[in-house]
Amino acid sequence: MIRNNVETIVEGNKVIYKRYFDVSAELLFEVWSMPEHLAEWWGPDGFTLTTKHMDFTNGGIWEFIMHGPDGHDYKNKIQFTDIKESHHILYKHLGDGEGDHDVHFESKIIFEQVGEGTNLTMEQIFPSKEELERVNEKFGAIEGAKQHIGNLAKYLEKLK
Amino acid sequence: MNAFAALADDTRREIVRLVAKNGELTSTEIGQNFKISPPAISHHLKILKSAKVLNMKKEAQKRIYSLNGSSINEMEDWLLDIIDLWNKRLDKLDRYVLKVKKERAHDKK
Repeated sequence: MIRNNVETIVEGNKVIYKRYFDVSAELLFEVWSMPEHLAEWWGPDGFTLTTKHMDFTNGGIWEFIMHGPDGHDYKNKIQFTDIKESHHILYKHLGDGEGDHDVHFESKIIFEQVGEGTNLTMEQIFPSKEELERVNEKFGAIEGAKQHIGNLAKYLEKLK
Repeated sequence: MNAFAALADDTRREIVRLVAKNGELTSTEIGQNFKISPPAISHHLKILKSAKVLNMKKEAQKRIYSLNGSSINEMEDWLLDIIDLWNKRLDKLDRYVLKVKKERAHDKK
């Protein structure tokens, strides 16, 4: 299978993934929007996924558990902030749903129909400094540092 | 404080950039690049050293700082893990949607 247009870019506090899928934007959007589809591809290999509940509307919450191959369960909570059918999905990661201010990062998924297929662009935006001050130390700190890894990496290249 | 927390501060990130660019710098040389007081600089350096972002060696009266590559690598690894997870996930998505597409085409026949 030939896949073109696959790239990952790290830019400031964003990671951008671009991919071409040989299916319509409609279908691609559909498999992002329904628990029975998500269960088929969302989990890493060896993981299974249980959706506790999913409200695929603006402001709606998707709570799910990823069951690891080692028997460990990972709780996840996502809030959809802006949905436009076959066009885009914006959501926020609310971590494990245990804490109110447990924001990890935001994601923007954009579907763009090109002929028979679809270009998918996904942006992960890591929290700003203001947000960081709110989040718990462990996650907040890790997320915050990542904004600057791009810069640090450049300097490290010089050192190598 | 871990390396990630240590780098959540603007001044400390600037210090790290400066040290990374120059290889080695004394605390005095670092301080000359900032408008903040020497005690404040030394506080930041202490945090960066205890978080293992910077290494420090003493020569006579001087404290010389350099970058601790392994901590930085740890952070890079962390980010790369996320990127890797998503790339794998998108691979899986690709396989899955093609399967669905095929099934639906088949159903129409």
